[in-house]
Amino acid sequence: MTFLTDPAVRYWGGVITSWSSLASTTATFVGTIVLLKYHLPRIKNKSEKPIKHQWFYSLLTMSIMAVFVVTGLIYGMTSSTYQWLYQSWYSPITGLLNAVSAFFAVSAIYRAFRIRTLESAMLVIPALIILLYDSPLGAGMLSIFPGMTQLAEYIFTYTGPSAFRGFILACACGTMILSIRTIFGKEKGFLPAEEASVPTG
Amino acid sequence: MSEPKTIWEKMQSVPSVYLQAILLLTIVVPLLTMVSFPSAPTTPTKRYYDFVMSLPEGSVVIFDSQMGGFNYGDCAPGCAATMRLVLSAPNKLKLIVLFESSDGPMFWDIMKKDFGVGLPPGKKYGDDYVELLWYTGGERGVAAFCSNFRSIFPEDRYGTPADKLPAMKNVLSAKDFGVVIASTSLTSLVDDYMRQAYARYGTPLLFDPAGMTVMSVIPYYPFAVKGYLLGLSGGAQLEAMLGSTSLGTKMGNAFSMMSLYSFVLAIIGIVTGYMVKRGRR
Repeated sequence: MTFLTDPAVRYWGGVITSWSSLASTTATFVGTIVLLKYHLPRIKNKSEKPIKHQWFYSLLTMSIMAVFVVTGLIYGMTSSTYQWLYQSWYSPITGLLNAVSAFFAVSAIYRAFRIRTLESAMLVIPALIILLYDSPLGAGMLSIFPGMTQLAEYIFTYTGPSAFRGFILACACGTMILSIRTIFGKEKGFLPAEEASVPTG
Repeated sequence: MSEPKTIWEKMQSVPSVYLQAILLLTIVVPLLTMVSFPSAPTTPTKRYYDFVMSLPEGSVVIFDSQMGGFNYGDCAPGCAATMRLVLSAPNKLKLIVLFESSDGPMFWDIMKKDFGVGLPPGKKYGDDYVELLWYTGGERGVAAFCSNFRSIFPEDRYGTPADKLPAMKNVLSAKDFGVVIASTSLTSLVDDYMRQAYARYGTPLLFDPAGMTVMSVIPYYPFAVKGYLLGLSGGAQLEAMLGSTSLGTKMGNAFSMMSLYSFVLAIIGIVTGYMVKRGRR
């Protein structure tokens, strides 16, 4: 929409953006119901599927959700009780999940970075330059070699964003196609195997 | 699988736990010790600094923080360094902080405590610095406060009416913003400000984007977006430019060590992979 000046396109763009806000709020509500529908029977039946002790994990999920919802409704989101829950539970867990990925990434870098063809060299060499450019010490090291900072900035400023825009456009198109297929009942990948095999219409 | 025979094969089969243990050390040691590494600020960081310093005297700086638990490490150093920069700039800037989500104020408080930032001597809350609450509705929210600031923020986060806050005296729409700075990991927020602040009112923008969000900022740099801090790294660079060494520098050092270690591992991996393949021929 940034690049389109037609008033009708901009108007409908605004309307659809408003719809998306409403849809995402509704989706949270629907998501809660889906979560309850998935976990409550598993707790009731002491289910061991799809993984061992599933009922316990389901109980844990439901309990945490209940604690946050009830505390938020009773004390409010700006209360010290809710803030304590958020800061002591949610914040460390989200930070931890991000941090853990670094450990897997290191192992992957050691085993997966291989230059076998010209194409792989074109991927790996800029990646290594950006790896250095992205850190304060690395940027300093690059500046020792004449032209390397400029090369890193060129890759970062022109090549990266161009590829990223293409990636975003592809994702947007894929999401739209997936949404349309889901609405018309053509996409069943999210359903359990037994339900996905039932023919529609 | 057969036992590794050559030194290259042995190097390739090093268990991941050893690689991960070294990674842990490269992160923890700089955080626990005050090792000082040289760092060179990149051009976007220098432009970010220069733009703030060149704002007309008394300009209003709007800082939109989307910092939360998942992007705290990337955004917090930039937020802390920016707060220091704006409040210590000689051009007597006024800093108004607002949030993109309800958990924003909480994380802002955590950031101030962790990084030890506060009001410098001579600066007063209400006159030079104001903290507001959060807006809702994504781009609709941004559009609303850009056209009528008071309609979304009639009071600060402590309940003081906007009329009683001297820093907000003449801040009625985006026309009155000297610059908008957004610290975010939302790619959409970049476009929101482009459309609603820059395109409609010509308000210049600065960003402190986390991770890959920078890829959404770069297409508008250096025209609409005058400069940006490249996540944790940019925050640490700005901190170094300001001559302070707080948690941002330590985090920057840990990140530097981690990146350097990853770089060395990648090179070793490439060499051993090549040598193993060559040995099998």
